[in-house]
Amino acid sequence: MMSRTKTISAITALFVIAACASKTDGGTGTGATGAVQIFVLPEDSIANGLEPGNGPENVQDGWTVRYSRYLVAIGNFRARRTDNGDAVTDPTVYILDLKSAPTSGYVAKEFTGLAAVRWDKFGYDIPNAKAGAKALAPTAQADADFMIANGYSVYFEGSGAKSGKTVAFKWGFKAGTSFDDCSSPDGISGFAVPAGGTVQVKPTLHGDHQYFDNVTQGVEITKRLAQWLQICDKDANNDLTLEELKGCDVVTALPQPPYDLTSVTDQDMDGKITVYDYVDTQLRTFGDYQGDGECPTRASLR
Amino acid sequence: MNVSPLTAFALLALTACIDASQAPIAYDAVAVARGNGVAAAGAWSITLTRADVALGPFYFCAAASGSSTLCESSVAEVRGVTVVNALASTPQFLGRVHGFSGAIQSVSYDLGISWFDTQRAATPAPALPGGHSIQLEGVAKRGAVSVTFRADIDVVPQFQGQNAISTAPAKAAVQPANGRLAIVLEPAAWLKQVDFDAVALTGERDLVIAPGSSAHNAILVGLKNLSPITFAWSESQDPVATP
Amino acid sequence: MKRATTHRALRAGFTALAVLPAYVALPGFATTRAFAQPASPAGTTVTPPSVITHVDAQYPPSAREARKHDDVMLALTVDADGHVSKVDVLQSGGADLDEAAVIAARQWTFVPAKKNGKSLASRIRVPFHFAPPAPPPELVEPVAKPHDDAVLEPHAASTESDGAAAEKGSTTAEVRVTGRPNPPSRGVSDFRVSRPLLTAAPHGSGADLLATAPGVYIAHPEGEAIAQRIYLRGFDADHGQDVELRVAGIPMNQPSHIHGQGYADLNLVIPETVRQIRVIEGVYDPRQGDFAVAGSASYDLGVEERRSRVKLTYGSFDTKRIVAVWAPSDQPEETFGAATFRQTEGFGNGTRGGISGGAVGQYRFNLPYDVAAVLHLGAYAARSNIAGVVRRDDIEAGRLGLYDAYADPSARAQSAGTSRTQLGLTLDRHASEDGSHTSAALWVTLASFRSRTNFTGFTERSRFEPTWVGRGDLIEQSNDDFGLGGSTSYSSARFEPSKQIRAHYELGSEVSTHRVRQAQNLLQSPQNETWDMRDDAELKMTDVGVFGDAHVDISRFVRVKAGARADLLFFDIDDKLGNFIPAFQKKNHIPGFRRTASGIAFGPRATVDAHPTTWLRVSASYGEGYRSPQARQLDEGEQAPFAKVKSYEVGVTVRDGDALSLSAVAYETDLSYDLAFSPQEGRLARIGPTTRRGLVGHVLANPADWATVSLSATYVNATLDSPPAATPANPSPAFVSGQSLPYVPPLLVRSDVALTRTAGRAFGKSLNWKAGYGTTFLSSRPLPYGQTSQPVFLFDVAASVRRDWLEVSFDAMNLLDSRYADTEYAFVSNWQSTAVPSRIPARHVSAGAPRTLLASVTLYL
Repeated sequence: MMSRTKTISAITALFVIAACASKTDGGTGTGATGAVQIFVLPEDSIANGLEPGNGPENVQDGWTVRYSRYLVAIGNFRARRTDNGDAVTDPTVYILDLKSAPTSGYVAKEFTGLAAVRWDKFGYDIPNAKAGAKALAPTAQADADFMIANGYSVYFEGSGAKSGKTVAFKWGFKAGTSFDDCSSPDGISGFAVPAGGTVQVKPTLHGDHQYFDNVTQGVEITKRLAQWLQICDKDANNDLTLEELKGCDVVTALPQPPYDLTSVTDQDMDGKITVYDYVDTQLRTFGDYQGDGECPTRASLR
Repeated sequence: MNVSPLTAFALLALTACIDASQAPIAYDAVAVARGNGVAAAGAWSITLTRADVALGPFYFCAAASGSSTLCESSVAEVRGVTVVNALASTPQFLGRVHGFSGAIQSVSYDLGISWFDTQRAATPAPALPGGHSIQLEGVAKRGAVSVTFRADIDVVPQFQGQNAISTAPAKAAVQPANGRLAIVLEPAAWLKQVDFDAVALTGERDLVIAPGSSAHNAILVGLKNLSPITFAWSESQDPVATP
Repeated sequence: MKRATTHRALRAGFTALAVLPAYVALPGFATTRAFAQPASPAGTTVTPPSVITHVDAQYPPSAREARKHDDVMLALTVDADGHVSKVDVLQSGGADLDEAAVIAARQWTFVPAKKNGKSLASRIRVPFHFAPPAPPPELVEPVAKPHDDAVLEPHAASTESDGAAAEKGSTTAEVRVTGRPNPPSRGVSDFRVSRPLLTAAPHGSGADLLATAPGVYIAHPEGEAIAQRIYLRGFDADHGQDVELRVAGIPMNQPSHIHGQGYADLNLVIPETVRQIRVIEGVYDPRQGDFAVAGSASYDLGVEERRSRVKLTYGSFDTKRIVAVWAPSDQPEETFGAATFRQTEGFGNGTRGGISGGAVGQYRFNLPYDVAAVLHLGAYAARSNIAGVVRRDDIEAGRLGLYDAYADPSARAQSAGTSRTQLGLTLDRHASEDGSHTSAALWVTLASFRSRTNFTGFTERSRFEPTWVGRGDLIEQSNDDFGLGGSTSYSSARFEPSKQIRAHYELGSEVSTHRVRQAQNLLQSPQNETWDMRDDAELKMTDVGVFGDAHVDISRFVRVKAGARADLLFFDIDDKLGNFIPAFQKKNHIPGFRRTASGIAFGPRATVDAHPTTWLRVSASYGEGYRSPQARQLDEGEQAPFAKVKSYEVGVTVRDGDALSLSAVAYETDLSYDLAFSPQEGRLARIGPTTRRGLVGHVLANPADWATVSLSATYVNATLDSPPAATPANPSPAFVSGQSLPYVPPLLVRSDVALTRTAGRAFGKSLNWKAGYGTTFLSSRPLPYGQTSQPVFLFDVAASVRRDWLEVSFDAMNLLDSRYADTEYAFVSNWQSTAVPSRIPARHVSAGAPRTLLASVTLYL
């Protein structure tokens, strides 16, 4: 049998070890730290386009959409704990070529030394590009310069095709928006940092919102339609310009029903609601989290 | 510390009385018409002679989005559907707002046609004029050209369980002392995006606007996007008219 | 039971705390203990002697000065006519204590031991524990007498001659007498509720027995196939999330249960087999593990009256119940068998019918090397219909009655079915040579659960097919749990590090592992088609806990019990619906999210007891406990975010022997995050950190030999410490410092009165009369949005008369027929009772049972 002295020493050691291992703050951790890596991934629709069809994920009026270039400004990644207010943030803005994104995505940021607990608030910005925004390889510096020079938050080139007709587009938008309160598709908000490890999270950018038939709120209950590409190509030259979008009346291009234009705002302040306003509004909703998780708190950035 | 049990009990009892969570409150909601039935739509001057608008139900939400998919629980509501004369010069009583004090950021609402969770299809409330959300009559003039119009407007929810206006801003920090909610509407401005030029080109001078028409769509754009209904909370106790 | 000698001694101011069993002074698991060897050589039937009368030893005046605190072990030779013919001191506590013990023991009389039906002399061991004048460790009830715990033990080592004589066919055998387990008190809020009070008022279920402890209220809002809801000292513990529950030492809480964290169904307990309930309100004992947030409760099973019986009951709502109890007279209290079946139509409009049945059996036996064992087997199954909740505004508008259920198929389809089987084995060895104690336990449980409940009517939208809505919020939950666990502990002998200090310590470990398969779906009545899937997961959870505990008598007046516990929890989650792909998105992966997580919870616990006089005890306690997280809510690698609780209390007990005990406790409990019921999901959701501060007053009196009275009042100020976490749905939650926690009654008053008399005769036999009642008062409960519920007053009465083998009894529950809400909620619902649905949180109630009358006949065999 263990001697009493040894036993008492063992008990003392147990206390000390357990106390060192604990150091709980509200019962939510052990004082250990970890890291979070922030990936940026384009959704499949940016990389591979949208297909026509009858499935809920298809463009249901027969259009095929492809992107050949897709640039975005993204950054100001931030995370916060609501239990004690701790926060981390990095104001850096990156210009990313999503069309050329590696399959593993862009590792835009890594925060280290974070308490190994749940950080229940995560957010980021898709701002209008300004000087200082960095090109993240393999994004070309020329792309970054282009975005900064024009102040775009997003720029894309591509085309829509249906029944042998192809409509090309090259559009840049200054639709700067902040995205907060991001949660996974399973509804788990933020992320949990493992002790002595790294968690990966990914803001995910979608390329199909401008084809929705409404401005989705939370649950995406929508249809994808693209007939407006042709309707708005007023000069029928198969090149749909931003000017044409600004002159394209939603009354004829986006009839209600099937559309519901609730929440579309007059983004260009011209006193009319046009398809430009519609696309601009939708481009303020295209930031998601962990695939199809939502970031429901959004605010416009100027 | 030398505190007797009795003192401690008294202190605890006192603190237990402090409970200032959101309190249930009820106050009036009124419809307030703006614009005197007159608005400009480009070169056109619009004058309404009739504007019967079905209002309700309204659900106010603390969340930034009032959509039923993001706001499962309202903080205030007006459940009745009331048809108001949107040309009236005095506020019209809509019903009582029932809810709680606290922050409001958004609203979702119908204009008499609802598609509740348990309904197979969007359904007009019994009180609706002609079964439509809105009935407008008036005249649009551009110089010597005059187009009279009569519009039956249906503001229909897009899908089951969603309100027709799934979300709109409505900012307030409602306190128990708030006496009234004013629901402000400017019906003439809803016609701002109606293309009267195109109508005039057709030679038509007596326009009937029905669901499915371009003008109907344009009025929906006016209602939802250009001149949406606004909401204001005040302590006003001015007399109101009963529709 | 009172003993005159004890009274005299106490009233003289010098308590003779010859408290049995000796193990009250030893730390140990709160499990049944026995110390015995195999009953007899094969082929023989030997029954031990059982105590007829026993006399407590008086604390000798000569020991007062030194405030001696010691054990004396006696060996008694009980002759064939049941008298003590010889007393030997096996373990001395000093001459004066030895003498006091011997004087008392010589006055004991027994039913003699029997071998093959023939009386014979036997030799038994009787431990006496002497403590200086001070309140005894238990507060509610006197400790057990050792009477029918006696177990035959052919002596192995301590007295060779006796042992040899037994082997040679001598008529003398050695028996060790032990009492029921009675672990040392961990403070004034360590309550032991024994049978007289447990049976004073009628109790419909084993769970309802808990209501006799101060500060406890038990509700049954979801019928008898779903676990009770527990309110304990300001905690709405739901189905067990904040109360660690054990039955016969087996943990009842099921981690990560789909219906609520820590779900624990006490319906397995057959009330007739409960001997004592120990309730620790707070976290002060290192043996308290997961879910001991508000406290813990442990059911000790045993049948005191050693007669088998059958009880038939019939009463209101066509309630029928039969209970059979097997308790042979030649076996100790822990050995029994019981089975019950119950069927009822339930109150209200035919929506609360249920059928249930269960069996519990225990057998205590002896193993070599002084090891005593208790084998426990319990099983329970039930199915019941559930009426669900009713909106207050529908009741007030006359659209529905309090006891009604909505007529909608989705409401009428509510039901639950559950089963649980558990097997446990406890082993104890008390080393007589040095007083150390070793114990081990092993248990296995198998529990199933399936419920269909609808709290909200028609508000849900399918996640799989978002255009599906309005099909009824009939939530189906299923949970299959296989649990395996056990514990070991070693309690040292006492030792004296210095002249003024005596101490002993205990080291123990407790492990459990659970394999859980759970799912949650939405069903559309009437055919219960699945229209949404919310959860589908397999969980593997393991808890490895270790604890250390030391008891130190620092001086004559002060005793310190201090220890700590650490638990490593491991989770392996196979979330089959994880990485969900919304309906309107392109499928680019296969759904599923498998992850692991772990964490360590640590908590020190300590109690300081001071007993400056014979009638006064003052204690202060501090402890930290934890609640494990819901596994499904854990992320990959997440350090299990335990809910941490800190308990503080100071208490005082004034005691006049067994005649009167007055206790008062002031306490505070801080919880790092609390959970509240989410009706949308039918389970619990986080609400933030909370604090409870309160006072407990408790009076226990035996004003006469035939009367026992218990009265308690618990006042609590339960507050939310900070706003609930902002969410997109509620970015600025309303909060004011000091805001009351909803649903927690600030004041809970409970009284139990038991009256027992023998009066009159019938057909040559005396009549034993029993009557008792229990009252419960719940003050107005704060509800969300500044509302309050109505106060509740319940009056339950029981009366019986027994003549020898026949007993007739009547139970009336809610005799005054109070119309009350068993549970109130506030949430959004749509039961289509108005043309335009409301989306404002509304009050909903689950009705408490109206007056229920039951008549029973019990036949003793």
